[in-house]
Formats: sequence, structure tokens, C-alpha cells
Amino acid sequence: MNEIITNLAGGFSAILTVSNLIWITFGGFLGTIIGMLPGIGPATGIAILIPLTFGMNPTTALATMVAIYFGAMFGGSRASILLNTPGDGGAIAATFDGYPMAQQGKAGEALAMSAVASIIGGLIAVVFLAILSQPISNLAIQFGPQQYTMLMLFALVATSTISRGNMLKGMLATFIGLMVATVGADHLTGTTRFTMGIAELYQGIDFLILIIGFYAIGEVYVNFDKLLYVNENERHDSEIKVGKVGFSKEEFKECLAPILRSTPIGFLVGVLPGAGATIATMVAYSTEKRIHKDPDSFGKGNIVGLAVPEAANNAAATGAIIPMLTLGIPGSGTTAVMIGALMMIGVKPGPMFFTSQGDIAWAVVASMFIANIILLLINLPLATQLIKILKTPPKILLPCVITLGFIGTYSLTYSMLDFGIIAAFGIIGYFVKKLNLPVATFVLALILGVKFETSFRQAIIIGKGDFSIFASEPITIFFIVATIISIIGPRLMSMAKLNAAGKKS
Amino acid sequence: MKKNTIIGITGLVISAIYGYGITNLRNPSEVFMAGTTAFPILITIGAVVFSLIILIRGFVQGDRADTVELDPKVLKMMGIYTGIFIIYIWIFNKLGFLISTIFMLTSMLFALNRGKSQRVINIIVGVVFPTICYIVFAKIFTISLPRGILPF
Repeated sequence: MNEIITNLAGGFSAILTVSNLIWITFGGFLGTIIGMLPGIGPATGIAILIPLTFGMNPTTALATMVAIYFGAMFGGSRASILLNTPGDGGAIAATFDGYPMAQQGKAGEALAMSAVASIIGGLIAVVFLAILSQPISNLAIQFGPQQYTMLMLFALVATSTISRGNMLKGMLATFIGLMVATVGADHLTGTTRFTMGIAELYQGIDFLILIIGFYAIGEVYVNFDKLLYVNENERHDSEIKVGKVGFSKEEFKECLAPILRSTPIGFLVGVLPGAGATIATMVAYSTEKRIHKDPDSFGKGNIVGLAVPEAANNAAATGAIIPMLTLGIPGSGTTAVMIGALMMIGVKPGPMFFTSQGDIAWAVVASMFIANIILLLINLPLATQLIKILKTPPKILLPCVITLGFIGTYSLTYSMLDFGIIAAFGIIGYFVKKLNLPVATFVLALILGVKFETSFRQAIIIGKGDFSIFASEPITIFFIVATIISIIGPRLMSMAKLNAAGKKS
Repeated sequence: MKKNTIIGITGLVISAIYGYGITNLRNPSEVFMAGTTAFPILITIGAVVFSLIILIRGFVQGDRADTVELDPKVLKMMGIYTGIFIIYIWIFNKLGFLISTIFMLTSMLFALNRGKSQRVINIIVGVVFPTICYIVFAKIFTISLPRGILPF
């Protein structure tokens, strides 16, 4: 414990510089705005803002990205509460009670409780992260190729089966993602593969480019479905009345225990690959509803029903950072984008991160505390000003997002070929979404592909062609069991739900 | 058309193209399953298996299967945007970042945000936003963006 406190103190001293604080504030502010805008989630936000981090030192860059991520989580709930339109999946549960509160003239209370619950959930989760990161890293340092292979197999399968409840489509998306990851030079032999003679592909397809194509352009195309039929004047002339932003002591007392209960739930679900904030908030909400003295009031403007998912949402966002920093394995679409951006600036998250780049790692943990506090300071007093952004017409906003996507792409590689790639993957992204194929699963496979293949082949070489190497140690057996559970678990749960529904009827 | 049918067929087509690519690879490693082609072969088998399962599922579900409906208006708008992107790629280095990006953004705005009352807004946003981006990225963050025909 003393070691954690010492490391954290070092982190605080590194992060508490004027420029870092300005960037965290700026990142949090931008993130809040991005999160508020429907159709632009945190993954898209970070993807298009990557060029901002160029030229920064790794600590500042990572702290800025974290601030954007957390800010997007805060901002996502504003649109949920005021417009019944969640900015991202994690903010869906905030619509259940947040929007009815706004309709009842309690938008000010809802916005304030949302911000306070988020910060409490976020801060507690950062404490969990600070405690758990080093032990997880220490464990992961002992991993060899076979353990890594099984860990990544688990992450890929779990993401496929949990992300959208459709294992088959998820698995196919995973295999296609792995295929794209093999384009370029083979990392073990140097042989070029699937480059079709195009020299620019020898280094492989930069997954950040694909991510920008999918998120910045594909998401915009998906928005066309609604946008081309929306009368802007109808949508944006609706006046949003907020009133005083604050809540009573009684309301805070009523919400505190549920917030403290939902935070660990959100955190644990967030740590799991693929589960993410959407599932975390839903689990926290339904758990609290079950144990609440008046469950029927949930969904009708109960402030507890808003506080619980908000705390879980931020806790899940923090939890999702653990596998990224300690194992080098992103567990969500947003952390996948972050890991790509980090690699661009020379930061290699993974088991050695807290050892070899401990100064950066602990500074980032410290920045999470600071980002949460700054976000509260931004979100409470500026609540009425910030919501004016919700009136920005998407027909103007979305072309600007595409423009930022192109600028981001150019600044990454200075290659015109990549302009063509993002334009093509924008179209592919649209069809992928229309067909309900999970994009996050594809992206995760794309990012892990090279590492997965390298570990797999190294393990085979160590085992001299014997596959039993993957089940030779307790840790690999643990990952095999976890993988099997991730496949059959969701099916068993849905069967149990069907049985329960059958008994009720 | 049924979603599962489209996904299954697309998966098989991608697997076939990828599989054909594998046949052109050299495999210098002597240890089986650790060579250049081993991993691609395994993932191709995986993709084929899941594509087939999805395809069969689509047939079995019959009329109950989810279908995908593509809106011609959306497809037309995507076509327009793709055309704008092609022109943008063509003029980017010739005219420079600022002029080409003003062209791209203004075109996208006029295509999407129609109506006489929106023209002024489209032009203002189309000029101001790329200019701000240029100042921020090229001048403040010193990211190298092509000047093209402009002297700055």
C-alpha cells in the first residue's frame, strides 16, 4: 500500500504542471462537448482528436486522451437527460429516469446528480485502478507466449460473445479483423503477405486509419438514415429549460448508498473485455431496481435511477483502462482507439508499462483523479451554457467531423492512399452497422492480430508443434475456462431469462 | 435481402480472396503451424466455418430472418460524398490543404444542409472551420500540411 501511495505521489508531482492542467481541462471540455453530440461517441472523439496529441510528451498526451474519454462519459449523459438521445451506449440508462426528471421540470437536479454521481463513481474506480494495476502487471510480466495467446483468445472471444449478443457475427468480425491484421510483413520471418505489390502496405494497414474510416465517416453515414428525414427547425427549436443546477441534501443522502453499490459493479464489468459501459450501467440499474424499496418508481423520474447508472458508467470507463494499461489489451472500442494513438507516440502499454514507464503510468493514474475533479468543475457551473451545444445542427456538425477525420489521417501518415482507405472503410463501416456486425470486435481483432499471431507461433515453436502447450499451466487453463464461460455464459443467461418469463406467464 | 445471407456470402467471398492470397505465399519455416501461412490458414478456416453457419442460419430462419433495407436517399448521399472525396484526393496536393479542404467541407455542407436560408451558414462554416483547423494544426501544432498555390 505504501508503494502505491509513493508512486501516486510521484504521479501527482509529475502531472501537476500548468501545461498538463490546461490540457486536461481542454481535453475534458472537448470530451464533454463530443459526448453530448449524438452520433459522436468517445471512440470517434478520440480518433478525430488524435492529431492534437502529436508533439506532446507521452504523459500529457495520455492524460489529455483520458480527459477526453472521461469528458465524453460526462457529456453523453447531458443529451440523455435533456433530449432522451444518449450520446453513447453507456448513457442509454441515463435516459430511463433522467429524461422523465427533465420532463417534470427537474432537469437542474438531474444534471447536477448526474455530474456528482459520475465523479464519485469515477474517483472510487480510480482508487481501485491504482490498487490493482501493479499486481496485475506483476502477474502479467510472468506471461510467456502461450499465456498471452490464451489471454488474447479470451479477450477476442469474450468481446465477440458479449458485445452485441450475437456470437456468430462477432466471431466472423473477429476473423476478418485478424485477416486484415496479417496484411504486410510477417513479423517473425519478414515475408510480405497480402500486399498486392503495393509498397505502402508492407508496413501493414494502420489500424488508426481504419478506425477513423469506421468511426468518423461510417458513423456519419449511419446518421444519414435519420438526418435526411429530420426537419432541423422542429428538432432544435424545442427549448431546453434547466433551471437551478443542484439538488437537496436529502436527495444526496438517498443516492449515496446506491452510488457506492453501483460503482464496484460498473468497475468490474468495465474490466471485462467487450462488456463495456452499456452492460455495466444496465446491470447496475437493474440490480438497484431489484433491491430498491419502491422499484415501480424507476423509469418515472427517480433520482436514484439516474445516479446509479451514472456512477457505474464512469466506473466502467475507468475499469476498461486497466486491461489496456496493464496487459496491452483494449477491452472496448474507445480503449482500442486510445491504444492505437499511444503506440503512435511511442508509449507501449502492457505488463512492463508500470515498470519500465512507471513515471508515465502513475502520472496518468493521477491525471484520472484530476480529470474527474476538473470535469465536475466544468459540468456543474457551466451546465446551462454547455447544453446550448446540443442545439448545433448535426447537418453542419457531421461534415466537420469528416473533415477532422481527413486531417487526422493525413497527419498520421502523410499518405494520399490512406485518404482512399478511410473513404472506402467509411462505406464499409456503414454496411457493417446496417448488418449489425460489431465494429468494436473487428477493431479489437485488428489491433491484437499481430500480437496474437506472434504469440501463437512462438508458443508453437516452444512446444515443438505440440498444441498441449496451451493447456499446460494453471493460468492457461484458467483462460480456457474463462473463454468457454464467455461462450456459453450469455446463452445460459438468456435461457434462464426465457424460463423465468415462461414461469411468470 | 436477409442480413444473414449477405453476411454469410460476404464472409465466404472475403475468405476465398484471402485464401487465394495464401496460395501465393512462401512458407520458409520448418516447424509446422509456426510458418508464414499457418495463422492465415487457421483464420481462413474459422471465417469459412462461421460464414457457412450464418448462411445456413439465414436459410433455416426463412421469413423470420432479419432483412436489411437500404435507403436510396442515403446511398445517393454516400455516392455524392464519395465523389467529393475523390476530387479532394485529386486536388489536395495541387491546390493545398486550405483551398481543397474549404472545397470539400463546403461541398459536403451544401449536399447535406439544403435550403436557401442555409447557404450563408454553409459558406461561413465551410471557410471558417478549415481555416481554424489550418491555423491550429499547421501553425500551432506544426503539422506539415501542403500549402499548394497559397504562399502561407
